Amino acid sequence: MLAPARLRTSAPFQAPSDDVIAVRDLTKVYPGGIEAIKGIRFFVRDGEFFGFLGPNGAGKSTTIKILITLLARSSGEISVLGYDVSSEASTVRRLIGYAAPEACLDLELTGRENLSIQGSLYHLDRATTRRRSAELIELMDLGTAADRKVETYSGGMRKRVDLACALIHKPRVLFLDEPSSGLDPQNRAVVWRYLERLNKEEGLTIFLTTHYMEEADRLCDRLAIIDDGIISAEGSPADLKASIGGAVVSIVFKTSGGRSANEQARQAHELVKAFPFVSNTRLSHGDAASVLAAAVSNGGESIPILLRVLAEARLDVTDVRLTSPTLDDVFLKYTGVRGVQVEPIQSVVVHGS
Amino acid sequence: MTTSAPATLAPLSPPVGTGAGSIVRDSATIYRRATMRMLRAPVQLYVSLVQPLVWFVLFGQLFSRLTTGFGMAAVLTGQNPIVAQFGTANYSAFFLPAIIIQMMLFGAANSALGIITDDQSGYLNRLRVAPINRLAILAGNLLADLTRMLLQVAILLLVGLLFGVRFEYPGLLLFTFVLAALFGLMMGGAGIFVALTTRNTQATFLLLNFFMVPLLFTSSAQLPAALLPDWLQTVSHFNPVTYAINATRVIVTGLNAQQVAAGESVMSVIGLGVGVMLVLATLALTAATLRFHTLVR
Repeated sequence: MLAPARLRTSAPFQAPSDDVIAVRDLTKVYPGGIEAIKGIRFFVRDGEFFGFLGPNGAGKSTTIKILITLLARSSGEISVLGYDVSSEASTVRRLIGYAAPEACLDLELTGRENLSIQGSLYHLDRATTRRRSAELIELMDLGTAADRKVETYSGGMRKRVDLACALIHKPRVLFLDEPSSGLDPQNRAVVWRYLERLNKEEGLTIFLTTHYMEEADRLCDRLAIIDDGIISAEGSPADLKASIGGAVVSIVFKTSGGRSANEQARQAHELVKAFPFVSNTRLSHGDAASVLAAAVSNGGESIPILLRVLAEARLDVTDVRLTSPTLDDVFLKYTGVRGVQVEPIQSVVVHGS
Repeated sequence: MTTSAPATLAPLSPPVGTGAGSIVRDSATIYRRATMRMLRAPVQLYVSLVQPLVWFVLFGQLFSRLTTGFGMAAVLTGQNPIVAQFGTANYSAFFLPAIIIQMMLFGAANSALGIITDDQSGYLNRLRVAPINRLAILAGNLLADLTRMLLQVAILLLVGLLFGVRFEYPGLLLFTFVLAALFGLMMGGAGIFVALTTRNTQATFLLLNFFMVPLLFTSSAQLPAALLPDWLQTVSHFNPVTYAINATRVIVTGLNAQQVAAGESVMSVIGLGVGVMLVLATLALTAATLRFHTLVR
């Protein structure tokens, strides 16, 4: 069995000087004693696209609500841009933007009017509101639809107007609670492009909660995974994927040339495990084929090296495949989703057996 | 914890809006939005304007002979003591102040339902995340509804004139608007309190109606207090609707026989009405504000 790499869970908290969000020992106990957050700590750096992942009920919505000043914490220290979210809530509100999972717009008003009201809520003067609205309508490709009632908009358009509202005052941090919720793949891709542009081109710090792993993998520089009120893993998508074992090369042998599949696999195992980039190996034997699975640190680069050695040893390789762990694997592993049978990434499907 | 902003962050990209929130400025924004919404739903606006007019015309005609005891009292005695109790022979004049207060009674539920709708749609969270004065959310919505209702009061007064109502004290008409506004604020506050407690549209609607209809029918809306059964007269003394209607009514019809007998003056009836409304409106708005504060912090 391949052993997963040890994950980084509770590293000592050190607040770098460019922390935009700093959360230390945050707890939240709801009336009735329900402990939603059990002492989490994390930080988000300036310009970072930070993903906050977790299954339903894990505590991610509670955390984002505390960060955007909608909910009071039970204990802990939380600052956004250096300002305490409770005692300096008003300043925090002025500096952040927020988009909820469902677009929270006034359906009776047009997109432009929603933006106008939003500008007034953030105390922009009329000229600035008009200018920013025009910029955002262009950025979000709303065109003439901006002057139609929002109730006539599709879900994707509503989402874009909602995002525009969150950006009207040029926030320093954008909080997005499940931005792809309810969107079809096409609209999801459009929203992702806007978000990437905001983060990469304008340097906007974005804090995102999601349970779409594809979204987190594509957009986020760094992730924290919360489960049952505790952060169970934190790191870049690549680090997290590597933490559960890196890539796995599966090599299939069949009986040929008078040598059994089992015998060839055992010989290959002796050769392969000697390489420094191979961390773990596993042998499995079937009736017609044997499989050698090797966890490798250098991904696909390992394949030609291994094949050359096996060829020199005159071993008859039938099939080779590379399996990379996905963020889904990471999510399932670190959230310990109950009632779901997780297929280990090291499992090998033997074709042609 | 209170930490100062790290120096590296300060000049990055200052938000474009730096003005401080004030209750007046923020209320104006909420007011603007609420007014825009009203204008975008013209059917609702017209119905809410026309419905009191229909009631006024229909009730005025239906009970037009009530004030004279259907002519019978005059035949028996040669006088008409019923007219004296109504304070006027014109039932439309008697009923006009009642329909004004009735309109405020039922119309105020609008603010309550509007806030619930915003709560359920998530729009309230958008407002809560914005750097605005929390009370502006209540004030802006209440004032927008009040504007609509005071416009309705003006229309009702004009229609009353068209239907032959003549005001006994036209110089005091301003008090009609003051009383209607205070009554509207009282009901708006009470409605919002109920709405924020139930946080459910149907429950709010049912609860408000449960109280509103008895409030109306245990007051002096349809009949002068002196003509009500004894037990109802007692109840009507504790009903704020009675005070609002009586104060509005003396402006239109003057004092009735009971008020004259009690030594009341026009200004004392108006003063009592304004005083009661002021106290109750303050209480209702305080309750609504405290409830709102616990919810939105």
